[in-house]
Amino acid sequence: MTGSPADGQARAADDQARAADDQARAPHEPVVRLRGAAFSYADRRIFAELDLDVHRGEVLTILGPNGCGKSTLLRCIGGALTLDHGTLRVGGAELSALDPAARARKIGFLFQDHSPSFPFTVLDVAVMGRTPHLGFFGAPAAKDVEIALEALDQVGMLHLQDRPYTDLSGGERQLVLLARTLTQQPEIVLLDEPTSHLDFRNQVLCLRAVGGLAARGVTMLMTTHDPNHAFLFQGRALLMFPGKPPAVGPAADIITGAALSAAYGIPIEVFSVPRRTGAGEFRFCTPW
Amino acid sequence: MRAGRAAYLIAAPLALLYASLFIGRFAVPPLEVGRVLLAHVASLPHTWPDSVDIILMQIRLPRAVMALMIGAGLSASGAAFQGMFRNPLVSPDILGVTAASAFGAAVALLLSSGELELQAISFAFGILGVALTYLLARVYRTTPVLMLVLSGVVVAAFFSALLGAVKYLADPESKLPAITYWLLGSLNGISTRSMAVAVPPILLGAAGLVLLRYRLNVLAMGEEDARALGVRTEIVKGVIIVCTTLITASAVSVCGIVGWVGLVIPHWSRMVVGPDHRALVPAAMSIGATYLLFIDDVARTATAGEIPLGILTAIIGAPCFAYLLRRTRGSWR
Amino acid sequence: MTARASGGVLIAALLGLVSIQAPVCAGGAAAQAPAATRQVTDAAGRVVTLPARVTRVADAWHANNALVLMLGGGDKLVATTVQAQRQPWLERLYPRIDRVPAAFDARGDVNLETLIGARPDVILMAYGGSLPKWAATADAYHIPYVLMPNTSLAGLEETARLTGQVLGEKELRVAEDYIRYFDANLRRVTAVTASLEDAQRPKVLHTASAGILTVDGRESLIDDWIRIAGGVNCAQVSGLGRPVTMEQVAAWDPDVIIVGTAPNRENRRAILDDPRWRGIEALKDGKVFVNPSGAYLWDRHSAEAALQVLWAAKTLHPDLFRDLDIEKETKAFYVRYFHYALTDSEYRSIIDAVAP
Repeated sequence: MTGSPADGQARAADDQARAADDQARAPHEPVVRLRGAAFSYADRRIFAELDLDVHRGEVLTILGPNGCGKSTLLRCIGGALTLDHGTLRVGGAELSALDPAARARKIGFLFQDHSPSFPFTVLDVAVMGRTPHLGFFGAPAAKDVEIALEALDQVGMLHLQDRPYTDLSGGERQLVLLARTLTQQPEIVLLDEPTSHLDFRNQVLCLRAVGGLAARGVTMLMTTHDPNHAFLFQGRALLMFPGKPPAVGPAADIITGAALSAAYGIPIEVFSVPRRTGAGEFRFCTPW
Repeated sequence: MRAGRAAYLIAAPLALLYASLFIGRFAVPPLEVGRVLLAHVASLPHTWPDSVDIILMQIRLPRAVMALMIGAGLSASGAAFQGMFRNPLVSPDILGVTAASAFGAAVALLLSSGELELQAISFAFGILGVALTYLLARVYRTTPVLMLVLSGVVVAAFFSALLGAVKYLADPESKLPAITYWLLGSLNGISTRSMAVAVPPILLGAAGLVLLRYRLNVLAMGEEDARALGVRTEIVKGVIIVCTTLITASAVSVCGIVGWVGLVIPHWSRMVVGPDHRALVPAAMSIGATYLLFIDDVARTATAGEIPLGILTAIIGAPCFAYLLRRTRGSWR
Repeated sequence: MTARASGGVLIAALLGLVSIQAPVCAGGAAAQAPAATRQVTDAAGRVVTLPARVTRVADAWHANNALVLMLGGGDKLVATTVQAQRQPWLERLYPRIDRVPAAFDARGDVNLETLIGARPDVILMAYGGSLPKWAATADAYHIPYVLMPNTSLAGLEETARLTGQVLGEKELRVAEDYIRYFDANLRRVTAVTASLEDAQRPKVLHTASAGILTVDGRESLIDDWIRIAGGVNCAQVSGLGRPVTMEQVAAWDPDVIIVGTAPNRENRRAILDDPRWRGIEALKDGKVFVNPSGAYLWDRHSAEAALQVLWAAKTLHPDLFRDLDIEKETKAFYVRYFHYALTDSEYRSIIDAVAP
């Protein structure tokens, strides 16, 4: 079943608008642009006067102690929360001007906790990523299924397509949900602690998938509890401190022993060792 | 859905509908049923007594059609709510519609209203009950499902208490048995007039649920996920609530409380066609329609009296549910 | 379960004790004050010991309140039921009923404090095979209760006699007079109807309403008067207020329908307006009637059941009872037993079962 012709037209018009948008955009306008952003819960300020640019294909790792507002920042960018002050442009458009479906076509969101409900198949779950591209009463068509199969292939979950996603391990499920996010074909993917419930192997698989997608031009904003994750990508990091403005910059510059110790309130050191094969070095941090 | 299975699901309720027309205490042979039905669309020699025509067209047909409609409507509502609340133990009366409609009907019986007034009052109270639940659950312009469930409990308890008060006040020789009997559920009161009033809201609600069935899949992933997928969850939830309320209030207003159908049939259907609401909603409608019509046929033919529908749906529904639970080992998750 | 079961055993044991002790106590009391008590055997076969003079009566049976009034014991009522107070004609005949505390509610539950506050000498109640809900409570407070039959016309006469016995000699004389009157009416009707062939007996359906279809079946007082009046109760179910299907009614195809549940007139209209009833014999012949209702519903356990047999006979067989003047009989009855002269419009309100 496909959407009505009217839905199709609306989508075509939307695509045109997006193309026009792309042209109107300054050649190197960042995919995410925050200016003077501020957000508070009741009387608790999470961040203020925050400026942030994230560029196409970049992986921005967001770090900080529990309760510092990593998820809140992600939710503001994703539109689940509304900024108190400041402007937020995403993919060349004012976020607040986008309707939910248009927003979902620009931004994909992978949540930290997903409690599964009914035993939908892996493919059915992935296809749900097409929802923002369908009309109100619409259902996905063959074309949408193809996009979902492609996304499952990208995260290496294609072989499980007919399995109930409720039967999968936590790591596999996370990858399926990532595939669903990719099926949305967003410009930006927001990942809220995507590795938090995964074992070591699954953490690596998930992070590799994230890196691979970034290489294909998808912009990634990811929160994590492990500062080492920031070193795995050649990107920037945003480190949040309790009660202080955050620091943004290349991971190697921002994530220092001093900065981490200040952020987490325990002594932390950063080491770098040469790689055994090839050039470059490994960086990692550890408490002592 | 496979084509063969779809054919069964379409044929079953229609076959039972025809069979229901010649099952009854008043013997009408199957062929005569066909002739009487044909006579309403083509001109045929009138070889049967008027009473046969009345039995078929005024008594059996409206009753059977209504059973199909209510069975389909309640099952679709149950499937929709189980998806929306992501909880397999939810039934269509979770938001208090049944308790409120039942109270409305009891008030109408207490006031000795006519059958159409009763239907209108009961329906109106059903809508009112759900509206109260919705307003009570509203926080910061959203209605979280947990708040909906809790508010539904409050509203249902409130209207149940009011119903208790009405029963307490009712005359035990004339009104109380009527109220008690009505609450047990029966399609005996169905006439062409009551059908004309009850069918449009059920059709409207069922159509809405059928159209929204893919959105139910997305909503079943959780509200946060659904919003991230661009679904206006408040609007979708609102439309689903309106649809199920139209169906359930309408059902209660014509046949009293018929429990278990909206709870058991969605499970049963999930076992047949899987959890995808695109197949599940139509399958639940077909299975629910067939199930309720079958039960109503038993209710009206098993004894010289009328067995209350609510008793049969529970007596048959509970063991069915137990069987399903054992069979699926609770693996709807 | 076990707690409840042992509770049941305890109650049974207590009841046993009470029944063993009762005669002993009665004997002891009799020894001290010879004329202080007397004994009545009730419908459950219980021997109930009452004060010699009963001046305070609690009537837990709504239908029986009118009977107490008819026998001249109205002023002895100290507790009544919520439902008895709602019978418009009872209120008209005996306005004091509104001021009698309603200790018993519609479900047969009792407000204990109201009951004890009323200090009744005895409680009157119907007996359908089981003790009333409050029996153990009444025993505990040593309030005697007399159970009376409620399932047949013969039982109604017995109820009148028992009620008279409980109330006193004067009332018992009225009861005996009423029973003679009742028997005379029964003889007058059966003299004509007893010889009717089956084919001459119309099939009667005594029904409640069109919406929720309940009918009164066999083994009931209603079945009794239908038979006596020369009809056949076509409802082949047993007991009162049984739900049946519309189709079953069509299969029974009654010749006469009597609507006996309030509001009778509206319920009759609903039947006449409902297309599903159109094919039924009674509707073709215009034989759908409203059952009269006075101090209590005529068709049920009422003082007016004596009139009901006349009314039903005349309704089912107008040509056989041409000389029977229901209006004259009714007016005479209310003068004789309720000391109330009905106006013409009051008579109509009783026949039409509407409030005066």
